[in-house]
Amino acid sequence: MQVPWLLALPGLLALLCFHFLPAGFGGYYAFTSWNGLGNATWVGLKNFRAIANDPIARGALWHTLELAGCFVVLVNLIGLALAFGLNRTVKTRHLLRSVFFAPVAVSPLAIGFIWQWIFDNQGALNRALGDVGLKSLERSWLGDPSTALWTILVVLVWQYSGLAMVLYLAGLQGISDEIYEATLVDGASGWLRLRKVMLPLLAPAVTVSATITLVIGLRVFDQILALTGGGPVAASETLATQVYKQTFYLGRYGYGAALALILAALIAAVAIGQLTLLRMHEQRL
Amino acid sequence: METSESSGRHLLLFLASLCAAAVVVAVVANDAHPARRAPITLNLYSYVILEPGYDGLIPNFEHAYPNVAISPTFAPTVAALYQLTTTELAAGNGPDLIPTNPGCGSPVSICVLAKASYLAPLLKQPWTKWSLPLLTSASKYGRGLYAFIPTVSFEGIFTNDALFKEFGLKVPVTFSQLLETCKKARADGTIPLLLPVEGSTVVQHLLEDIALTTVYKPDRHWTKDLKAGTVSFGGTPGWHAALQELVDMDGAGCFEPGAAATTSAAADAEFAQGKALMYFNVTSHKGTIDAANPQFPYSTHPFPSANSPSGTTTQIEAANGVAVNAHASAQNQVAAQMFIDFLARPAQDALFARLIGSVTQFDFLHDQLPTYLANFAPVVKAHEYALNPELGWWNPSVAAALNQDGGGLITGQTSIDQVLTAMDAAWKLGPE
Repeated sequence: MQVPWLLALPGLLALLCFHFLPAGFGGYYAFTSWNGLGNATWVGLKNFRAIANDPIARGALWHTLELAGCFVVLVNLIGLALAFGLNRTVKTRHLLRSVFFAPVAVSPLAIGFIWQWIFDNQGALNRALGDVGLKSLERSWLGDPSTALWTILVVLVWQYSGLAMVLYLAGLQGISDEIYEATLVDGASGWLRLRKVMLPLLAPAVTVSATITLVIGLRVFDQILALTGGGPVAASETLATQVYKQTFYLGRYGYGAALALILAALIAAVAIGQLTLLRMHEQRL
Repeated sequence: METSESSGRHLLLFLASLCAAAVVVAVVANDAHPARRAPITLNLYSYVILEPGYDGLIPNFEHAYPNVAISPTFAPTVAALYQLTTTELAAGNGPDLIPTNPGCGSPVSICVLAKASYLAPLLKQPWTKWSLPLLTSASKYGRGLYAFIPTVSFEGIFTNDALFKEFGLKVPVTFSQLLETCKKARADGTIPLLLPVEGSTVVQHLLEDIALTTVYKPDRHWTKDLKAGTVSFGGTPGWHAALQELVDMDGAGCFEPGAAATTSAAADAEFAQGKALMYFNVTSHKGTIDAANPQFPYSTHPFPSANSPSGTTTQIEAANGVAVNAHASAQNQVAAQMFIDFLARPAQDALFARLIGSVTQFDFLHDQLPTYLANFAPVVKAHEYALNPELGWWNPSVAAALNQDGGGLITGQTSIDQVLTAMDAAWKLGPE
């Protein structure tokens, strides 16, 4: 009986040392004032009170929720549409599946820098708009506070639609052909078939995809850092970018740890809540 | 059976040959790199704009001291440099040569690192004899001297000589002339003044540069009064005037659309391509502009923040200091001290300064500015210069508030009162 535990011990120790202990220390430092170099001084809830009173931190929280909410909806809708389109009939579906999935495999930072060039004031997008006579639509996409966050959303949706597509494709592949043929025999219209048969059977895939994309949306960092750095003037700051800036740029490790703790709690609460609701919905179906 | 055995032997021989070849290549490569051959290798961290200077200096040092090799790492942004340095110092594997700034205004300031006992005091410093006294005192913590500042740079404007000639314009020497120049350049369809806002501290430096004229020139002890609690950012008319100048520049069309998304690297490249009339930044960007376009004709001038030619006080930048890691081995500490002493030699320091567009403290003290900084000679001669005010601010959040919210004056996201309120709030966080 002891042997299995002994065999698992190295892995458990590694998990403890490299996952739980650092997270625990991070949680501890959230209640301290620390510049990363000297000793940390216990300050209790001071960091959290400061976060509540900081308009930039509050704005970052709101941007995090905005970005994640819109990202989850759009990426799942587009992913579902791509999955339906590339499920069976198109001859080049295997090639197209690879093409749509390719951005998921590329480094988010690299994606961010490529799109930064596209969205630059004199970048490819503005030049293309000027060339086709749409100069009035030219914008400073990344420098305008009203468009910066939505520009980041476009990049995120572009990058991760392929991931949602793959998850939904797996779900569609799991639906038996007989069910599909039965709906045809019964004379169900395409819309009715989709709404009453396909979507309910895809409920587990929706649960998985929605949960994964929600976590991605809440903790996005690399693309924001590459595209706008959280600017202009905090217009695209999220909790993740604020953690980075407060900790490493301003040397406020305790404050940054408090932001990170809030972000972790937010991700856990929202993800678990969503998962629970979707599972209940699955069971009803 | 014989065939499969001999195939197996051939395969083993082939794999063994591959391994041997890999070992030979590794040994040769190892032998070829001087850093790996030298008994002592010093790790040096610095900011990317200093790379041209170190690229020129390090081979000279390694030639003079063959037993010591320097392995430099250049961070692409100030934030990345802070992150790298503080994380590695805290983890116990920090560089032997630490980048540091005088004063207390950044996470790698001398007062922060020395207080945490990460800096070794510099011994037998002959170079203090030819250093600026105010820089030497800013490089101290308590009674110890902890860093050498190799160069002094000026905050100013790079000017595109060819475009000025083409438009028949003169380089502005007063603030109102600057606004007129911006309007004319805008009408002629060129970017009047490049100002990189994203990911840089240029907005902060511009506002500090203006504040030296509007705040610190009338009251040289303003920061002392701030520490005593008798003044505040919001309650000082000079700070309102400084921020108003930025608003006026924006109103005159000085900045390109989307300046908020322009990085320093992009601005260096844009200026070097001749796309702008003027470019505000520290003169140590000369190295990167020259690298982008060696033939580009430009010059550097003080930023005209006053309404009389002699009324401007110019900011001198004295960041980018280098210090010795007190937690490095004794041998490495001695070698690091040797490197700093070598860097401080007048000829080597002058080479370093020339390659990055700055001036040595020695040349600055003796009014011997290089030709590319000739337009700053009247400033130095008249002593109308001062160090960046953030060196005296007791935490980095004040400068960060000025930089971020100051940028909001250009995008319309903040007002002057909001910027100054944010700075006062950051000041109240207290010392590091």
